Amino acid sequence: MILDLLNNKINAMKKVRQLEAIKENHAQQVKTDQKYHDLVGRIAVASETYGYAHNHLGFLLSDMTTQKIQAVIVELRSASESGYVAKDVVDKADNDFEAIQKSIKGEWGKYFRTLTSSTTNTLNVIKGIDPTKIGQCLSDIDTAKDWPYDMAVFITLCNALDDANALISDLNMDSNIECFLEKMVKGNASIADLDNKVMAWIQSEGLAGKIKLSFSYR
Amino acid sequence: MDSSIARERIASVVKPDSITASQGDFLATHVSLKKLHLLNKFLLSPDGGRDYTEDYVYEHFVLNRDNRHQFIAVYGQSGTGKSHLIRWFEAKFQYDKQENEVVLFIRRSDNTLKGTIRQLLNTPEVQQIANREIFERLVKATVHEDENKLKGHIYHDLINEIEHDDDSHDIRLANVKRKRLVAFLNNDIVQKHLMDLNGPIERIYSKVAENSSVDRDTIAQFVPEDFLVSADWYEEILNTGADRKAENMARELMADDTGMQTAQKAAEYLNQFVNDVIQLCAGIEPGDFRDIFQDIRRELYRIGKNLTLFIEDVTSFTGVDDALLDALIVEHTGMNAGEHLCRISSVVGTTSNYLKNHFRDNHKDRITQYIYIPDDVFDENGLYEFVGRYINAMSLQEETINSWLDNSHASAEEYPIHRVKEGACWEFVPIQYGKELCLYPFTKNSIRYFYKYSLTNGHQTPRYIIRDIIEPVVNDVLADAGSFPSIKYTLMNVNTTLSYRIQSEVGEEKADRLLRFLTIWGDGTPQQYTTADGITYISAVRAEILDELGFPRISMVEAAVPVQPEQQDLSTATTQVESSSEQEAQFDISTKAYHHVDQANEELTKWRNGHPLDLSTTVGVGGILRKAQEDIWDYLYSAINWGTEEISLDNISKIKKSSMRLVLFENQMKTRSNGFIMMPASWDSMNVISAFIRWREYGKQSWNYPDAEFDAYLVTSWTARIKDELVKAVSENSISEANYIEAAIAAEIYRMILNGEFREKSLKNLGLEYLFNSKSPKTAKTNHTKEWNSLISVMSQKDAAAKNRETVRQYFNLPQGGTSSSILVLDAPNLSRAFRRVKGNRLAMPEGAETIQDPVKPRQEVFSYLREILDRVGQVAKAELSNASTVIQQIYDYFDTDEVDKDLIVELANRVKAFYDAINDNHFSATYYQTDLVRKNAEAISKAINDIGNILEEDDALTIIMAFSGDPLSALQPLQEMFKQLDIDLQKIDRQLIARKSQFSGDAECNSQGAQYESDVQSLDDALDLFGRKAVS
Repeated sequence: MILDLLNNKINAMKKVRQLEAIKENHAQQVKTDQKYHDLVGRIAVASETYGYAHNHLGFLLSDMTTQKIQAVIVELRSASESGYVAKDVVDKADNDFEAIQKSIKGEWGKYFRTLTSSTTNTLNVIKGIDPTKIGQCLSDIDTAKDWPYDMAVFITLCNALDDANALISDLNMDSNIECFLEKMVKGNASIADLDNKVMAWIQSEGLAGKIKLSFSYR
Repeated sequence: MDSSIARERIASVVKPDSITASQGDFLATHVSLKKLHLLNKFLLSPDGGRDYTEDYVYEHFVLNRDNRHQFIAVYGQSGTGKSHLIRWFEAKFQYDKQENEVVLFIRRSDNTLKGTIRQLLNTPEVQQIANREIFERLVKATVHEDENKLKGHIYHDLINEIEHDDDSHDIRLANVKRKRLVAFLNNDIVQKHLMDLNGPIERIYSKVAENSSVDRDTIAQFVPEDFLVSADWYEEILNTGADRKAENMARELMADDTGMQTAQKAAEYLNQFVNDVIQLCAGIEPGDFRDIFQDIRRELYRIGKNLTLFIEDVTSFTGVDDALLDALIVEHTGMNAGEHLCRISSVVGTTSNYLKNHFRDNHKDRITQYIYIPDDVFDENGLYEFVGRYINAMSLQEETINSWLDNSHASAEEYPIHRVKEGACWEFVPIQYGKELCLYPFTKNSIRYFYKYSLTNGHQTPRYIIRDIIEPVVNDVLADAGSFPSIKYTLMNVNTTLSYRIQSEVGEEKADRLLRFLTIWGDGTPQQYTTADGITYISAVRAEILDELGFPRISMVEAAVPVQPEQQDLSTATTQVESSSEQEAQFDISTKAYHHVDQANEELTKWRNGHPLDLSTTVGVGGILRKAQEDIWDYLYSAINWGTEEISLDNISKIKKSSMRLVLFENQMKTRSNGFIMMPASWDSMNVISAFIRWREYGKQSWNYPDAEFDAYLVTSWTARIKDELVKAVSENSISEANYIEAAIAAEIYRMILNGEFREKSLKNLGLEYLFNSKSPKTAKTNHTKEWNSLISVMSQKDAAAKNRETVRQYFNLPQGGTSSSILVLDAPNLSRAFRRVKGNRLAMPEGAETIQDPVKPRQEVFSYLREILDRVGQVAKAELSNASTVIQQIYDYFDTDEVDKDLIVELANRVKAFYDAINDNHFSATYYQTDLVRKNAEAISKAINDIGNILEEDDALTIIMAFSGDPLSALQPLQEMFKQLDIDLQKIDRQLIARKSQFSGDAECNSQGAQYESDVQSLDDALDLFGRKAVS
């Protein structure tokens, strides 16, 4: 059929032209290939870290960002099918991936705060109990604040969060104490919140000198 | 008249040449000439001047009372009576001459040299001449010689004279030309031609030999016409293997520009030898005649006598006339006194032309008196008297006349008058001494009529009056007075009213005779009157005469008794038509018109009497009659309301264009036409034709001339009589039931289909409006087969298509308010019926048309036109189908399917565009092809493919050509062209691909395409897997 015949001819012409183009500029193709390899590598890292964050920290990208990154991956995959990736395709995919990375960072930043704020607040209240150890925890958590392209950072984050939770658990605080601490962190605690149990816990933990009073103007 | 005597005597009295009548009859029939002219020098046709009587001329010149030398020439046209006058002079002179006067009368006899010599030999004066040698030669010259032998002598002596021309004559020829002329004359074909009965040798021979039978006034000479060589003659000369010189001469004589001049020169040159040749043939010497007359004169001088010589016609001396004249001009006194010659007084007769051309100037100068006889030598009474004297002479016994001659020397007083046995109530003419001559069987009207119409110009002379008037009319009445006049004379100025009255009241045979009699012998009017003495005249003829001749009485218009007209000179003698010229003057009818009508009537009379009519010429009487016939056609075309007779105007138009004529005349010769009806050679037809001639000639194509209303009546009543027959003959159904209009409509529909003006697939949608609204054939290029185009071309040849279309368009036109009306309406009911029949027959030839042989060619052409289409249309359909089948199959093959819709075509266009874009983008070489046309016409293309696909199995020619009428292949043209270009470009690209791929044949890098990306692809697949999976979860 004539339509098929025309298609075949169109493709054949394109292929020949590509071969010719390649032959005409080999160095350029090497650079393009390198860039392609690099880009594919960065995407691979991104996918692995994302996989870890998702699996261990419960991080989930938005649908839009997911579709965008899928499209870039498909495009890059297609680009290699002819045997030679085109520079413009690689350049475009690279730009697209930069934008996607920004989106991932943004989405991670929000998720990070939600993930760590409660723990870090508590740690900051009780920092005086064991300043060295709690300080180390807070530092380890903070290293993963920006999307790190390093699996080790995510592992450190995971460990720091585990250590912090263990520390807090060891303090045996009941619910009233935890409520008081929470209010204190928020600046809402008052003398009225100091019941016997709380006072007992403060005395027992030697925290009386570390808690300051002030007037509320509300 | 006394017929019992006349029957015996007519042969001896009525002789055109005075020389042959007896002396008594000659004098008894002699009418005194009163219009002679006397001249001192020669004039060919002298006008004016005083008229002299013959008595005056005789007394003052011929009688020669002064005894002087004189040489009198009597001349005039042939037949004017020169011989008669000279004979009368001689007869009178014989009585009045002096005693010492010898009269020598050389009569014209048979007007030949031999005859003249024989006369001379018989005279005592010649028999006594001293020179016996000359006498012997004269005797020898009269010996009879065989006709052919003598002619041969004349011819070869002539050639001999030319060969030995010593340039002593006035006209000379260069040696080369002379030899050429001799060779020409020696050619057998030329000799045969010149010795022909009407040739110059015959003319010369007739002047030499006795008993030859030619016109007496023939001149023995060559004329230029003898040498004008026609193409046939020239070819004949060549075919017989002419001598080169003869051939050259013949060619020179045949040339359009110089032929006449050469012929004239040849004739003039040869004429110089005629006299010598005649003398040679007669065996006499050039000077013999001069010597004879010299001898005679010497002898008469010796015995104291004088000579008076009368020569009736000098041409009797052809060949020796020069010598004769030489002898006659020699005077007896002065320097010739010593010759002892007697006084000579010569009276010599000659024709004007002979005198002009053959008398040398020195002879003319020596003529002492010229006497000229004019053509119209008689006045009206003279003419009546001339006729009356002949009738009187033939009614008298010869003895009575001889007695008058002998006893009273033919005195007028004693002139005998016969006892009238027949014709007592006929007209008489008074002569001298109170005598009257009965004119029976003539009337004065009839004499005037015959003089005017029976004698042509130049023949109104006594000789022809005798030969052409007196003799035939008298013989007619003598043969059978009961059927007189039986000769079917040509009738001039026939009064249509008289003719009509006679025909309505008298039977055909008598009607013819009666009309002839009343027109010629009477005044030709339809009137009668009765004089105070109770005599009734019908058409100016006494009623008793009509009774005597057995004519029935017919009713005529009563008229007043006319006043006796004064005598007229014959030169102004008129017929009844001209006599009423005053009345007709108001109609401004020219003499030429009268002449034309007369000529035509003369011809029609002959036609009615059984002669054929020749209408092949456009001039002369043939032209007049031809015009009349054309006028009859025109009249009938316009006078008959063809529409009401159910004859289409188109049919009439076709008849006009054909060689068929509405009417032809019976016995019409040299016509290639046929007529629907034939006008018989009858009185009725003659009257009608004459009426049309008068309508044109007198009325200048109107009915505005005297008695026109009667002509109009004749014509309209004739039309009414022939109309039914004519209409029936003109109708196309007189040939066959098949109507040519149906064939024309069928052919027109075929034309519209073939020209794409009607593009439907069925005749069902063909409405009448197509016949009248169709546009002119387009000239745009189509994609039809050569068979299709050839048929269109054949149909258009000689404007056949346009003519056929015109037929269809005007056949059903009905003029409103008469044939000539310009307002036309369409006969829609009949048109619809015919149209339906044609469609119902699927454009077939109308039934019965195959065998039609219509004499109206334009009608037959309509059938032939359709036949030509039908004969070819099958082949055209087959060819179109075959061609389309090939094209459509190719298209199917391209698409690999026979279901090609609009979308598929658009997709193809897009793909082709992409193909050419790829060619551009990838640096391949092929001209960019625009696919817009295919895309834009995708719907029309798919429709055309579909239409053609549907007709492929059809076998009805009409259905097929209707399917192709819209030229579907043209709709496919953009697609075909695109395919065509694609085929070329695909091949081109293939070649370029092969060439460009070849540079990579050893390149491993290129051959392991994509290997370097395998790990990347794996990484990407893993990444996709991670992102994808995460997305799904």
